[in-house]
Amino acid sequence: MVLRRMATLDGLRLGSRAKIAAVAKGPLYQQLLAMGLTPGTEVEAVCRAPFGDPVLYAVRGYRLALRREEAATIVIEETDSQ
Amino acid sequence: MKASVARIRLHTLLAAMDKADRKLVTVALAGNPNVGKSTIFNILTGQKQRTGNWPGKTVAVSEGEARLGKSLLRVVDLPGIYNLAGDSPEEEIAREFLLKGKADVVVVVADAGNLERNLYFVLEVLGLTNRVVVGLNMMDAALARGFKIDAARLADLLGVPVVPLVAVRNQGVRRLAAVALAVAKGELQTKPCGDIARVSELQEKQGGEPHLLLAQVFYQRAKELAIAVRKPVKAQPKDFSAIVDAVVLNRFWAFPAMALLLAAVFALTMFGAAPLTELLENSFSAFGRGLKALLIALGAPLWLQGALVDGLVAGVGAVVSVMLPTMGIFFVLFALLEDSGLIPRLAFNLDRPLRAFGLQGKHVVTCMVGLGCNVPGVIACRIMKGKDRLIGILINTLVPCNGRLGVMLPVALLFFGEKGVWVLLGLLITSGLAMALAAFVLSRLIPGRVPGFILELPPYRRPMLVAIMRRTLCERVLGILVRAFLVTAPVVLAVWFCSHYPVGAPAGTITGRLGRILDPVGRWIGLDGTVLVALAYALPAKETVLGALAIASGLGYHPGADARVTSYLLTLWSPATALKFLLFYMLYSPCLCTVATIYRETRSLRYTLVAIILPLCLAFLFTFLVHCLELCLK
Repeated sequence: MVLRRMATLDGLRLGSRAKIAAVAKGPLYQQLLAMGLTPGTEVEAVCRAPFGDPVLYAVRGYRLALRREEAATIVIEETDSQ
Repeated sequence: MKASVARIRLHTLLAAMDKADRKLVTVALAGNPNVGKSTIFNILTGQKQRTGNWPGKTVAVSEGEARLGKSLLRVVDLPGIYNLAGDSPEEEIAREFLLKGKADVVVVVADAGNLERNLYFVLEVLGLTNRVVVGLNMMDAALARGFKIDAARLADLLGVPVVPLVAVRNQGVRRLAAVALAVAKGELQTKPCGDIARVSELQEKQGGEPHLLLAQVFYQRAKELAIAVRKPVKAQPKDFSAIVDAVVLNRFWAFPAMALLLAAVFALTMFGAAPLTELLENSFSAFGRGLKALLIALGAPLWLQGALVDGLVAGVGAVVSVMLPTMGIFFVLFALLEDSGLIPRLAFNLDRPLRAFGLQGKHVVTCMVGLGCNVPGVIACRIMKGKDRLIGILINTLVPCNGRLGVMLPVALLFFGEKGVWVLLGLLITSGLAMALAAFVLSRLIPGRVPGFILELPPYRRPMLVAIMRRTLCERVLGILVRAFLVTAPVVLAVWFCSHYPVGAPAGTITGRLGRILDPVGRWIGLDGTVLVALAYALPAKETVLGALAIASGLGYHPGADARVTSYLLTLWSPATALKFLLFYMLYSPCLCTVATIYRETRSLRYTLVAIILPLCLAFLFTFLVHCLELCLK
């Protein structure tokens, strides 16, 4: 059974993939959309910086670092099965 | 960059273009950051714009002329942006330029290894103009990562010409220019399939947020295009970038790796430059002696001899022989790091700890550049926006540049022997503390919220050493020589003058009088009035401080006099005094060139004054604390 949970991107475990469900209106809203973080896009959390923040994500074939607070504006549904 | 400044520059450019020969075909280079626009621009126009493997170095609009066969083209390099619809100064500039129709053809440079996002940008541009050519760059990197792109198919699907190229190897660039020229002249027709119409009809049908709709429709299309033209190549090669990142970004290895890197850059710069410095010093000495002999033979008056030889040649010589080798080596090393792609990794690793002080990851980069010279350090702050950028500009002078390090290291070695290196290290840590303090205070006082942070980590690339050396040497060496003659020389002459007139022993000269005025101030921090005067004299060009000290102490300045003044100081100063001098010297106000750059970048008199006064206060504070410590320990 595939469990789908709504969560935000900052909670995505390293190595897991998720699909973006929505992007909340934050200060970086337009930028995030323009970088390809649109609803329906697959994102993978690659690794964390030594102090835990920012986190490196793989999206649309490239790698992007986002801080916790900005990642928290992106709502995701995890696609990895339990 | 302040939006108003950017707009002024854009309007100046547009006005100039209006006045200029309208028969020149104008080609605009647009695209995401770090795709090779500046490389292409350099190849076409022969200019030497800065390039490097990470997003965000071109922030202004560059213009140049290119010759293609019999035609002359005007090429405009727009700043790299991810999104035409945004409100940052770079996005505004690019959008305005394209909207005003000043370009006869737009070449969108795309990174073949990053198709979806780059195609999104192509689609955005197609919404503004039909005359587009796509330059598909970095085809070699895409191949190395395991896929081929069918450029012809992409051209069919997009309806515009697509030219594959590898700009760093100068493959395909002329062809790109030829195709662009053909499109501009109307010889080649383009039938682009813009999706703007779809977006507006979708909006009418289902309403919804326009940005979101646009992004979704365009990215959907970009994805379809990418899937259609990208074919995996038989063997999937190892992901080199991931392997290196596993060390550089690793929780345990990141900091040792970065410390090692910094130490290596430092060591190579300081100790690698030493033989070259000696060579230059000897040459200048010889030249000075020859000039003196000539002047004596010609019967030139004593003051002229003094001014020219003791002042000018010795002063400029001392500066050039220290700064040229160190800055040459440092900036080549830094450009290697930039080109390879390591720089954004530094920003990534250090972002979180720096935020505790009101800084962010990219400040590491600007401070590193500042280690070479504060002027490019201040300019480098353009990679950040708003408050971050301003703070970066204001604290940059607290980083000791090569000019200062070239004075600090010998003095430290002289007074502390071998332990001098550790003293220098301690001083550098202190400058870090001063920066943290300054940033902490500034971030509380400067209005505005902290700007958002998105950082792309591009794949590693092999740096092009020869191109780097050529470009760096042209840029830096020329800059140093120009500065030596335009700033340092007049300053040294002026100092020499002030210390010899009006006649009346050291006490009667301007220098002597200033020294007496500053004595009471100096007593608070344990430094002599003469030293403070010398430091003030060194403000226009800090590397002249030893010469200024020599002249201010009445020693006269002879070629090779550094040894004389330092051995004189050895008799006069205690190690504690030397330490206080080094500390104050490291932290105080920015040099003249830096102040000019700060004003140019901020366009704010208020913040320029802050940039001058804040470091001065910190210098006094820290030196005062050390002085108190010294008194307590006695």
